[in-house]
Amino acid sequence: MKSFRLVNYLLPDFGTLLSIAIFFGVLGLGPRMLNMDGDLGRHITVGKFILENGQIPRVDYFSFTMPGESLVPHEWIAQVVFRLAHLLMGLDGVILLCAGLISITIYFIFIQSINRSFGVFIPIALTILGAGASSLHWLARPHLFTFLFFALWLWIIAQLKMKRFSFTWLMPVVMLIWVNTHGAFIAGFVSWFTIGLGWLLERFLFHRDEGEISDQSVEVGRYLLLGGVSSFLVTFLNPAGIETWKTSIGYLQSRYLVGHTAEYLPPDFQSPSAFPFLIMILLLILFLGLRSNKISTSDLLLVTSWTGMSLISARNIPLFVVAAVPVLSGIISDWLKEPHPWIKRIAGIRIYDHLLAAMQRGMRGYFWFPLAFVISVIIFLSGSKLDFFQKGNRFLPEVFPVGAMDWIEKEEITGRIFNYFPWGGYILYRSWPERTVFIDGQTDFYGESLTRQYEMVITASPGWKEVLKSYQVEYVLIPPDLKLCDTLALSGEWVMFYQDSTALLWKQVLPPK
Amino acid sequence: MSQNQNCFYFFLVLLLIALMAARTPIDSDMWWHLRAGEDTLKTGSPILIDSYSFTRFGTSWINHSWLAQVIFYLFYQVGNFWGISFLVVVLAAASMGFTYAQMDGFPILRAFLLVIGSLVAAVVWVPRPQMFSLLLLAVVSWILFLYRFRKINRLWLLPPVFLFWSNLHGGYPLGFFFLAVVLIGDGINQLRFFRVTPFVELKSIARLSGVLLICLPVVLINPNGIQMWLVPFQTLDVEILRNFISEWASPDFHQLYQQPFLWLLLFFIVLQGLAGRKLHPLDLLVVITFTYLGLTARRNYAPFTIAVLPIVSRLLDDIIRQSFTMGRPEEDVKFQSFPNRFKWINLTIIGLLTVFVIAKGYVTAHPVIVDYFERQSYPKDAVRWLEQEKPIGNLFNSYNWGGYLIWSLPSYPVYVDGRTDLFGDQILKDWMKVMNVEKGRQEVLDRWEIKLVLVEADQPLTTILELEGWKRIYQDQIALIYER
Repeated sequence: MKSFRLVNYLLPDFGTLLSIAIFFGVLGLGPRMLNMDGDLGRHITVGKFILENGQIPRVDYFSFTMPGESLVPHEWIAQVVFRLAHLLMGLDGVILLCAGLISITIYFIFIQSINRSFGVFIPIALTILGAGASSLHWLARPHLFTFLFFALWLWIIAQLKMKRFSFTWLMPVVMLIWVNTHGAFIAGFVSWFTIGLGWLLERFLFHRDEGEISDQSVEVGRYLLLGGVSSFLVTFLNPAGIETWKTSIGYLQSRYLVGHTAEYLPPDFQSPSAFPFLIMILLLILFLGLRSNKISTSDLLLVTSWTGMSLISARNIPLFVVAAVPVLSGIISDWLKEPHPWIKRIAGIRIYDHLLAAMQRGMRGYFWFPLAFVISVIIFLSGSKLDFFQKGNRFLPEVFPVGAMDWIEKEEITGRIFNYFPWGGYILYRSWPERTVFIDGQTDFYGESLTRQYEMVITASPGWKEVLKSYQVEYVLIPPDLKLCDTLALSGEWVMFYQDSTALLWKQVLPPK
Repeated sequence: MSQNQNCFYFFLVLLLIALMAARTPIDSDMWWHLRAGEDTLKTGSPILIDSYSFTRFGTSWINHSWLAQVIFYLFYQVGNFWGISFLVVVLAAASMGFTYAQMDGFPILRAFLLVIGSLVAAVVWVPRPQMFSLLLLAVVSWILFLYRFRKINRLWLLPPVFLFWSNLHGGYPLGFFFLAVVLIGDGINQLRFFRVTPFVELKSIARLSGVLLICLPVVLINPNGIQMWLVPFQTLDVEILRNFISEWASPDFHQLYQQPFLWLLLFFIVLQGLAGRKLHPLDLLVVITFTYLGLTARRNYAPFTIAVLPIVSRLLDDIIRQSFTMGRPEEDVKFQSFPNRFKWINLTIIGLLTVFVIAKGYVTAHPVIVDYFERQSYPKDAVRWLEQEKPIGNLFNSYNWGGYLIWSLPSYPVYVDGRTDLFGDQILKDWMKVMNVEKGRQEVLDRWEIKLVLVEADQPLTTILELEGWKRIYQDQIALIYER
């Protein structure tokens, strides 16, 4: 008996195995995660400010366009954590952190899926498909914390629906950290609302048979309400109070900003990266149509609402995955339980699947995941690389103005630099506080007015000169393929000061007499 | 429910659709279709060689919409823009009318769903030959509905439908696609496990397959011959199409006018979850394939509506019946129909709506209104100026204005217009190179010996042209003309 127990604690469960696979997969994509988005530099810089000054910035210290303007620090915990990871292991540390966040999220998705399924094959397949769909938005940014908190949030609600009410206290605790970590904490309330609405409909409108749906008791409703209300109250415990709500909702109300921010754009289904998401939607339609019984209204509303929000903004796809994979696992498993005439032909597979599920319940080898983490730390510390193309975790000179910033620092250029929007974070990362930026990825702070001015300059639209003049810009740092380059060259008022294949630095000269 | 009530709702919803479809008949592609229709009537044969552009001048053009162009031009000739508007209204209402005929449930419910569906389809209700494709898809779907649900065999109508379709618009593969989905769906339903009503016997499936085989060669009876089979592939092969032309792009639900598609899709998912019954394999295949098409290209919103709306109506009808019959046998439930004394009120409503439709159609297609929108969206004054001044040289033009220039300025062949399958990737990429001020633009302008550029006043290209020494020879709020 003892040896059996020891084996149980030695063997990893499928969730752990899957998490480890995803963990190393994310490490393999490290350089891609660092270089697909330019905001990481800003987050590390803000984290640096907080750790060095012992205070959370409430006004802007990072731009020359809006210095001293009021700032809502809704990501400060994430920024501190990113900075700490960077302090410990540089960009390798940041990628380790991201890989950890993503793989733990995947673990939560998997265990919720397996709880709704009779076997392991369907949850494993769907979790992998879901990971593929959400990988569209795997970037080294604070929203990775939202993936994890969202998975945790839905897991807690699932516990409440199973009448494990002692988990209720976790809702406000998770929300307290979430609201200080990332502005998308609202996603938790959206889900809470849809699940609550489903509960109300089940209880008062649809009158399902007793026992048909497990989550319609009064107690469940009461604890859902308690958890939701207490969580709502703790959202005000953050450095900006109610301003955090205003910022998060206010940004979504700006059609211009939302329409101009890449991550808020809808998924492009002609791009292969959106195919896993498309497959998930089609699978949802297929299996809802194949089964002959109803599903829980809460589940239905939750999945439908996140399908809609993901179709509106690609950044919601990972949240759709968190919500939909367990529900879809349940739907497919229920369908497979129906008496199909062909089921005998796959009886062997089903027995094997049941067997693995039973094994899964007994396996306790969770230590494998921390072990994998420690091993990767050691590998990084030994100077080895874990990414697929052996580029190493660094900002690539073909994406960011690495050479230009080396040159700027060497020449000790201190004048104001108009920068390409995606490079703002990198410039801060490289040379703040010596240099501040025109704009960076914090569009909710810079707002529509400055973003429009930026767009005017970058597209060389009428009025671009006046914008640069009004901010006393002396240098322009942009990629060589922008139309602004031709305009600057032909204007006679700007000369090229530095050039490489990624960036051009233009310096203003006096207009010819 | 009395027959009168049924008729009332049918006409009510048709009039509401007509009210929605009666809009100022302006579309960037409409203009070159009108020109081609006029030339076809003048020459007595379809235009199959390009003479409207200097970039493809004299090359062969697969003009798959020649018959639709003639019809549009005839309506224009008879009724000016009112004629075109009338044709669009009729095509939109007819396509939705055929969809209505396939829907289940109480008339008021069907009417409501059809109005929702019309919001989705209305995106493509523009004066273009694709309106014929919409109508004919609805007709094909209706013929199959009669065959499968009502056991009425009108399959003999399919070959003539495809004959017209292949001469009216290149979208005829949609019909074959639908037929194939029906055959596969009914084929799967033969399997014991999947069997759901309506059950179509193998004999019927074989008959339908036979008709499909007859329809395939029928589409070759058109001026383009066997080339007609290649049109869909050639169009889809234009890589730049998907990135550059909005109707071929993936949906953007930030745009309010595109959101009805999303709402209908989500509504369907909710209904599926609430219905708690299996769908017919055919219905599932239809929804999955048309959802895929709709999510990959916006131009498929309307086909999605036509294909999916009858299925939505059946699901909703099921759910409502289940709710009403809870605890009672279904046959005991009688739904109240309106008494006959409401007949005059109904007729008054229909009459009033008819007046509204006519009034809206009259106002929106009035020459003054058309002229206003023309001036807002097209370089009307610049064209007049070019006609008067006649500067010499090849004209580089905005893509959206190509069709308009073909119609209103025939003496200047265009660089590009909406006939993307004619121009192909290279010319369109070169056009983008110039418009986006990319490297190599000068070489494009030199290669085509372009002396004149006519573009929108807010294009960044204008700044560069001026810096490069092009002379601005005309300007208004809409357009700028440059010369070198």
